[in-house]
Amino acid sequence: MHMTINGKLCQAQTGQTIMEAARGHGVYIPALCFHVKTGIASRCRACVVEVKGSPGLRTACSTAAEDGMVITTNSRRVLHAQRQIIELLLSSGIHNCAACSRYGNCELQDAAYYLGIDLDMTGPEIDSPLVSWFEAPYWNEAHGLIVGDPKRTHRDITPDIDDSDAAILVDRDKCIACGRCVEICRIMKRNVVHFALRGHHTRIIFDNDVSLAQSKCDHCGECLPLCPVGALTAKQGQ
Amino acid sequence: MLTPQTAEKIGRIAQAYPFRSSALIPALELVQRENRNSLSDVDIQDIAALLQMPVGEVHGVASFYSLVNINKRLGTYHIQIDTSIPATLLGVDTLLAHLEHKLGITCGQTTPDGMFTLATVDDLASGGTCPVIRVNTVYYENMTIAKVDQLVEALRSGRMPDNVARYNYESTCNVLLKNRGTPGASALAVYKKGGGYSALAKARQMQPEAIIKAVMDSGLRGRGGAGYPTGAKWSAIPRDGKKPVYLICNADEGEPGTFKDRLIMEYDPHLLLEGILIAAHAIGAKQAFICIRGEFDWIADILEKAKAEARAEGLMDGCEITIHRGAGSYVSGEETALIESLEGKRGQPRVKPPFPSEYGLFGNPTIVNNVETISAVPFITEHGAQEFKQWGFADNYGFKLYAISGHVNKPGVYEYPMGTPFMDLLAAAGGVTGRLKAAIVGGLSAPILTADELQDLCLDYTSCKDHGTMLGSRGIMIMNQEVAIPAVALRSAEFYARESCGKCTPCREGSYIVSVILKKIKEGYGERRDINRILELTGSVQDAALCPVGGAFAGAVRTMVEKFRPEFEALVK
Repeated sequence: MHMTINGKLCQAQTGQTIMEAARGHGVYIPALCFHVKTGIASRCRACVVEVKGSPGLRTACSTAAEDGMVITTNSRRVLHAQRQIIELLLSSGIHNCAACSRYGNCELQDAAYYLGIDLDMTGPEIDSPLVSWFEAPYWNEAHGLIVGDPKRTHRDITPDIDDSDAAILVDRDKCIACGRCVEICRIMKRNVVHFALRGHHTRIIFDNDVSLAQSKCDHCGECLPLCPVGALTAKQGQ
Repeated sequence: MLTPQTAEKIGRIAQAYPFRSSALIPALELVQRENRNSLSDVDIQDIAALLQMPVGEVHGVASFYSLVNINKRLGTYHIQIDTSIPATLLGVDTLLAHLEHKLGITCGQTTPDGMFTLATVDDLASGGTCPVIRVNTVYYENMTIAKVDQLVEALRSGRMPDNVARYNYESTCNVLLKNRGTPGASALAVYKKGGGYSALAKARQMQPEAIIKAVMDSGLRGRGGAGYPTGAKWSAIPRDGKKPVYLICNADEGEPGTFKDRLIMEYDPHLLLEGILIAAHAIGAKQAFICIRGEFDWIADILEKAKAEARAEGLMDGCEITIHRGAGSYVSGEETALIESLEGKRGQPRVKPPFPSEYGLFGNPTIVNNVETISAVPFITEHGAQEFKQWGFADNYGFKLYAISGHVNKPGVYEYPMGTPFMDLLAAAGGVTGRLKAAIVGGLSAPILTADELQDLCLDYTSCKDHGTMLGSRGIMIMNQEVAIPAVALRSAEFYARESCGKCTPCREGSYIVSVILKKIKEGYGERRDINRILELTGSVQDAALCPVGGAFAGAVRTMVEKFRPEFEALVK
């Protein structure tokens, strides 16, 4: 069957999603939660695109490709929405690219560059229409409102790193709650990592919310290449 | 630690569901209740072992819901103060300050003697009787400072007093609230005397297709908030018998400002049961669930009692009804999130399509209908589609429950025809106290309207849409000239941020940031550009969120800022 993507006629197969059809034609759509190994999650919403005839934006990962569909992945509206999503993710954690082992190999970084978001962390020069992560105020339960500290994001002050395990480093400040690790751990029948709490406080936990070293994780390592960012990384050198 | 008796109870509970995992949330609440309302790590491990689920999954589910506590030290009396919009409009902040002062603790703390824990909670579905305080599982409505003092005195002497409340209601259609004023109406004998269960008898003689046709012809639209045509929903159920069909009655009543379903369940439970049995027959469901919000403990008990009566009379042959109590999550009122919750998971919405009629409870065809929708079915079955259409007009037929709260003289529930002019309903509720400034007419998730916009509004889907809002759940909150909209916007944003399920980025992070920015503005640190930031953010959230809740939060907050911008600008530098 045939679809139009960004004005170009493309072939697609029945059963494919818009994302798969687009990838088949080398069209990049940011995708932080979908993965061929873990399937469709539709959580990150970074893959939203315009589908002619649909009033809102649709996620490319979960929308079936149909004959005659007209899709736009690079309109102002789409890029603006995608940019806001990436900025929301960047401002909800501590994303210090220069100090991260995934520098140059990070799907969030790729999406940011694609959308023209300047990740230079040298100073509060970023004038995004959103709250820039340098200036974001945040509410700290103990201290009340904390405003405009250049080194802070709007998460809590204490970095959330689990360094207990010998092989895997867990940095929750980088986690974007994509769910890939939870799903692969389920597929691998280890069932160790899960989501806990809700809303902004959503975080991954291991077993009964113990440290990774205390959990039943047996280091199958399947989660590591799937993590789109530097939240779960292999420890170097050990 | 699970006692053998508890383990056995959980085992029995599990048998009422298609799969064991559905018993998880009831199990969590059961064990919690036996342990000063909090679960320990060992409890979680034991429940996981008993239900053969991974311990991380059980912990993840338990930590998702507001009513489930993990490793918390709660006082003997857990004082939960409803800080919803209706409560805020009626001065709950003053009550909260008074309680904090009286008990010598701040919100979130427990008194040193272990007697009282103070907490704020979201909308308890009691807008008509605000301010409301929930102590452990008991509601105390129409609270004043004097009543609060009396309550604390009683609790100190170890006694839970009776709830004394004044409920206003009126019915011009005389269907849903027909039995509201009849003493003892929740009893089967009284219900039958008033003609109850004759519709069910008729339905059992009819072909299922005929019932669906009647509902379709009546134009009945879902009374939950989405307003989807019920007949169309029902006819999407496959009739090939390949998979079991389930009916779920959505009794979550979580939309702030809404408190009408509880009236039907509390005072006319058999009306709901009859509707469920007819609907189940129509769609071919052998099992139905009533998913009732966890805070409605006493109402769930009333439903259980009514169910036992109906079963004893043989009325429930052919359909098993299971009453499933929720665990505190607004988003779990969305139909796919409700299904997830019923499956024993975190109550997060699913991507649609596929729709529940195709892939619902454990992947089977499922219909999720609101309490009020199902309660309309006996009337339509007995009297026919045309009778139903005597009220309202095209696309907007039937009788409706409107819940009015806030600055009115007689807050309560009013059964009026679809299309009733807003001003008429306001008059029925005793008129506004003070001067009308604004109102939200469809539950918090509907865009706010100014007094000017309200003048010619009619309470139906069409008129509401023309006025840029939605009829929604008909939770009508009236605001007078003393209300500061920025405070309402902040309270609304905080509600959505607290209730966000966390699955999708825009709502998860967007609701949090917007509530922080609004707080910044309210506390006096706001900057000019913060207002535009809110408008930008809410625009994107609406475009990209996974489920209607994201759009609802964004639309609600944005219209408040847009329409009352000068008030926000006055607060910033």
